[in-house]
Amino acid sequence: MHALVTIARKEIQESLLSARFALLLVLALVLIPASLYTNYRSYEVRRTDQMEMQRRSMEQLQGLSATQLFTNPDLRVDVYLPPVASSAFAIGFQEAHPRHVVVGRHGVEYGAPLEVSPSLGLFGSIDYLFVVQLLFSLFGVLLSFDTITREKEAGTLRSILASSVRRSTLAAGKFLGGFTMLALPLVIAFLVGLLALALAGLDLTTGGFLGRSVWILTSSLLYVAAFFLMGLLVSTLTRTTYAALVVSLAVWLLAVLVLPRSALLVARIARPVESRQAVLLEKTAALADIERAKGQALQSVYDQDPETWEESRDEVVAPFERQAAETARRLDEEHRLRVDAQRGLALTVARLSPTGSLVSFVTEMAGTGLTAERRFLTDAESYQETLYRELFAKVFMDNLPGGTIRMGADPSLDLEAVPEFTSNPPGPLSSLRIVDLAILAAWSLVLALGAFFALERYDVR
Amino acid sequence: MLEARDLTKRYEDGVLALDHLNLTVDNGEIFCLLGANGAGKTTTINLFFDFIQPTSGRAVIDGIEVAADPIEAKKRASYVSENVMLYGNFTARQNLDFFTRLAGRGDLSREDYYMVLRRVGLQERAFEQRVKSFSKGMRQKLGIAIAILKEAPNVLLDEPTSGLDPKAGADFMELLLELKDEGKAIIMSTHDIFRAKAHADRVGIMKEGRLVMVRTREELTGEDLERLYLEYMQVETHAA
Repeated sequence: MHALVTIARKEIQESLLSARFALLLVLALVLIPASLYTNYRSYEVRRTDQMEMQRRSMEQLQGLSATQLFTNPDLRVDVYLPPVASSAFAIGFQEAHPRHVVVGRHGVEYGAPLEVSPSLGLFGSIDYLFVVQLLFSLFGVLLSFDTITREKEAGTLRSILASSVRRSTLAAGKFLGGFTMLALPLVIAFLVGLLALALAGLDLTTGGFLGRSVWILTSSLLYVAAFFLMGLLVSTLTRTTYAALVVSLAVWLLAVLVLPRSALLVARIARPVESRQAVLLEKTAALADIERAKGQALQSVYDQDPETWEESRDEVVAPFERQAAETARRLDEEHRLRVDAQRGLALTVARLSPTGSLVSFVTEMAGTGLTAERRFLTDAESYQETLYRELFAKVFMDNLPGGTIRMGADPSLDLEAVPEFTSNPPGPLSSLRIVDLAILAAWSLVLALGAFFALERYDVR
Repeated sequence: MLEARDLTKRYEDGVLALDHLNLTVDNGEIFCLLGANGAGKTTTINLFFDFIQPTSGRAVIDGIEVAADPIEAKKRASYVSENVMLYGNFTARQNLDFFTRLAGRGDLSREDYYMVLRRVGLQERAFEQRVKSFSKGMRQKLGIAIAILKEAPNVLLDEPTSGLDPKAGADFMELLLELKDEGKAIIMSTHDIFRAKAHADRVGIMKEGRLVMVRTREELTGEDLERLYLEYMQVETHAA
């Protein structure tokens, strides 16, 4: 225990004098608070936009006159994703996917994305997740890749091992000291970032924000520990600092950039999914066929008795309406299942790297992950069912053969009574992806064991 | 007491670095190992510190077999290398503090460190200087200071005076004699035939992993050790 503390203390003293640590501290103190603050400001803009657009959407709907309703049977309602404050940590899908969907008679379609501000998409954005994912993983490796080889080349490794220190104690001390110097800038910058958010007006105690923050910090620490241990393992498997640097950077590149990005590539090849637009076209064609059949059925009833045909109109139309709704739902559901399968495979492949687990965990916890997106779409679909009941089913337009169009509305239709769209993001507990946390912990454990065993066999000559 | 029993080391590439070495060094004795580069001197020391594992045979420190219990065995031995390697950004006192703490001496004060540094002849102004500015002689003195503070009953030195100026070399040997007088068993590998003859209680010559000659100080009286050494080298070369 005494030797462990002595080695850890020496590592800390050495790091404090190193340029690497100073650079990491400065970068962390600049990037983390700045990105949290900026993304929180973007959240506020999105929230204002979302509330305004949602209000206007309802106003437009409720302001429709009877004529407008009848002449616009293909009525659609815009709904907007309510942003969450924790998106300051990770922009997540909010930038990659629509935050706006259009609810229509036959389902939900993606709407145009909302621009918060003119962006340079070419360069991507910086958020807390990016800083940890790239910067801290890189420094994790840079602080540890030469931990053993440097001592070997300097000859101090022999001096240490000659002084009756267990090799496992040496490895543990190296980890303890090195990880402390890696975690310190992260924790300090994180706390400064939270302070910046508080100064920007965010009440940290609401909406489980503080709990989410603690979980995000925990996962980040596990992540950087894994990369530090990765560098330590490489250091125990190589004989020179140069070799350790080359191998460490190659492993880092693979783990952080190549593997997670290849995941979607693999999933797209293994489980291809047609575009949302293709599904929409398929749905439109299928619904047009049903509409045509409905028109023919109505025409047939009309031909039998032009005077009384309207009495049996609802009875004739009902099975076609059901079929249209079921067809639309089936096509949407099938597409969704294929998308989920593709995403599931991509996530599994991405989780082969600690980066995959970190991205999954932090975006879920920030409320900008796949679950939040799915929740938004599910809520939009539920809203579509409500609108269908309260609105779409009460307005009709029958296309009769020969070009005749008949329109009408149920007298019970009350636009004022049409409910507003609501969607609540998943709570902190339902956002908790224990599996990702467990994977990150498992990575650290496996890499630590690898480094310990490799150091036991390390040739110190 | 340091013992080698049929100690043998053959590396993975087939090179036989040490061939059935049998040797006992008693407390209060200096044993100097002479030999050309690659003769097996450093391999012998490496085996005593568990830097490498023996192919066969045993290295024993105070009755404890190194391969069986390296930690306990190494607690009883200090190591001084040809180039004492220290942390350049740390001061002499900080280096001393680090290595003595690793050796289990967490009870020493700053004054204790200064006392030992004075004893090994390091100038006062160097105590709190960063080691990266130290000469080789100063580093070697620091190395012996670490060995002194470890208070181990055995000391193994790997060519410790190599590259030192005559005065620094002589000072170093004086310190070694002090350790011997304290009752420590000392093995020193060296190329310095004259110092070996002057200070060692016994001298051994190694060639191709074997201890080919051992003479006591008394046996060497009146002998020309250099001539003896060269003869052994030549005999071995011709035999090869």
